Amino acid sequence: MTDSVSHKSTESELEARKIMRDTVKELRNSEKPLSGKKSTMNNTLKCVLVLALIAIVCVSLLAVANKFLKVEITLDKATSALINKIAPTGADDDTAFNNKYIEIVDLSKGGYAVTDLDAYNKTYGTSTQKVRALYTSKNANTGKVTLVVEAEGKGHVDAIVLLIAYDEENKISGVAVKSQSESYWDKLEGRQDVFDAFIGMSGNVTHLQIATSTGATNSLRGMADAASIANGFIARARGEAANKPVEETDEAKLSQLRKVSDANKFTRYTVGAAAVANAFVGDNGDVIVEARGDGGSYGKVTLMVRTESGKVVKVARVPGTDSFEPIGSHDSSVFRNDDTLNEIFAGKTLQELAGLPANGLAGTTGVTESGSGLIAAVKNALEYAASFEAETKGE
Amino acid sequence: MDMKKFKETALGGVLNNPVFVLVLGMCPTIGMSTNVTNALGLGLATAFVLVFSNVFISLLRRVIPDKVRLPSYIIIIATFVTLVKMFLEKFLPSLNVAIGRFIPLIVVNCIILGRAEAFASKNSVGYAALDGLSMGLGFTCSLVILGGVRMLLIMAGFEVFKTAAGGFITLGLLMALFNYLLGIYRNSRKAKLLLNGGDAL
Repeated sequence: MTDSVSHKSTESELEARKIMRDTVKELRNSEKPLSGKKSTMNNTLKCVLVLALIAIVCVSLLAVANKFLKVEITLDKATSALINKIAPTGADDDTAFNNKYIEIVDLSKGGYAVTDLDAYNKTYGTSTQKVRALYTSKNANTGKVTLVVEAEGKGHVDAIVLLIAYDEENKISGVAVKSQSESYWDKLEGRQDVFDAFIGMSGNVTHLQIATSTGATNSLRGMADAASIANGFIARARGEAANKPVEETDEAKLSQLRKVSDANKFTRYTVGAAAVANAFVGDNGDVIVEARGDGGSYGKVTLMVRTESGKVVKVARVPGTDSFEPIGSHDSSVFRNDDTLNEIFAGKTLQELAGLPANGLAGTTGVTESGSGLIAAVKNALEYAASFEAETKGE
Repeated sequence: MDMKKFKETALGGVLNNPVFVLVLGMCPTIGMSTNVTNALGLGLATAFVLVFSNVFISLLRRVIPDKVRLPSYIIIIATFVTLVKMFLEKFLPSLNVAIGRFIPLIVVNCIILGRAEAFASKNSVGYAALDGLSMGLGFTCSLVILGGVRMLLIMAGFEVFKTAAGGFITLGLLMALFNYLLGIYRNSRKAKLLLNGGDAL
């Protein structure tokens, strides 16, 4: 009996040992992938940490270098000579430079409504459009001072830097190219008509207003962008933007305005911001905003938007912007039709705009970029019109 | 110091010339070799990036995990390329206008990534710097020679050498000449070694 009991206990002991062995084995097996997971996690963490560390070191190095290598625009002889051509001092280039008839303006010292160029560019510029400097050119004979703005816009390859001279009415009186690295620039060489087209312009400029069929469209866009931001800047620097209304006399602009309003005369309030170029008030009280929207496949989309009480009344395209270009397979012709645009946007409020599908405007698909640009432009117009109308009524 | 390795590394720019032997970095080579000034500018910019990225990568070779070595190299190389771009914008604006569009392309220049992967990540800082200097100067010299020859041909009235096609023709001819001379040098070295071996025997 005892034997049998002891035998039985031995059997159970054996079984228990077997179970223990299996459990230990299982645990050992399960430990292996556990440690594997742990090491994978460690490796991943190490990778992330090392990459982050390298990035931090590199960024710090660049930040230090930026302090010493940051380009500060100064007036050099070459720039002075270019300015002397577009805003003549009445002296030769060397005399103009040496006698300081041409000078760079230190905005922080006052005298202009804009005192900080970096802050100005943050508010009104974009990543591809900015004002670089302001110069004065004094005529040695008459004593008349001409303001010259150095501004840049992104061309086909890189930034195109323009020097733009202005008359007393903030209209362009001369343009010179300070620098460019465009691969198709030869198409514009000798085309004086291109530079002459800028003369008399103010407010927002589109490349089609300058020239057509040059073979260097993107370079023209860059120049138009530079001129647009410079035009806004000069008005603001003189303290006239948005506050000092001017009667619109530019025929191209008037024809665009007449597409959305029956007014005979229009008063322009220069805004010069990236989202809104100008606001207009017709002699019948119509408020029209010339607004731009990011997102177009070929650049910003620009629209003339007539608004009333927070709603869109009428919309018209500004030729030469984004999808309005008849370009091959990207031809979204529906957007080149003002009637279609009005079917989409007329009567819409800001809230209703939010529900519009960028990739399904007027039933079209595959034009998401243009759709986004259009919606953004109308949204910008409505937002600006709300504050503009309140401001005007307050006055 | 291992003199043999030192000599091999120092002569790497000639014996394994990136342009004429390894045929690397062809885009800037053809694009910027229409005159000597641009060629020299781009060559020196590349050499600077090559030396400093090699030094950095060699310093960090034990720290950088294998899985993320390429992104790490790219970050390091891009940093030095940005430094070169900032330097050119500040001190040499006219050169920047001429070669500026090719400077960001240095980041993806096969010579730099190739040397980082094949040499700097496996050798000490001193050798990595020497390799960067040798390869960088080798690249610069090739570019200057190519630029000089093309410039002379353009000045002589052969306008075709202004184009990429002309660049490739010049490069091909110079490559043939370089490898022919290199062959003569290598054969003479072999003969010398054999002779020394014979003496020893």
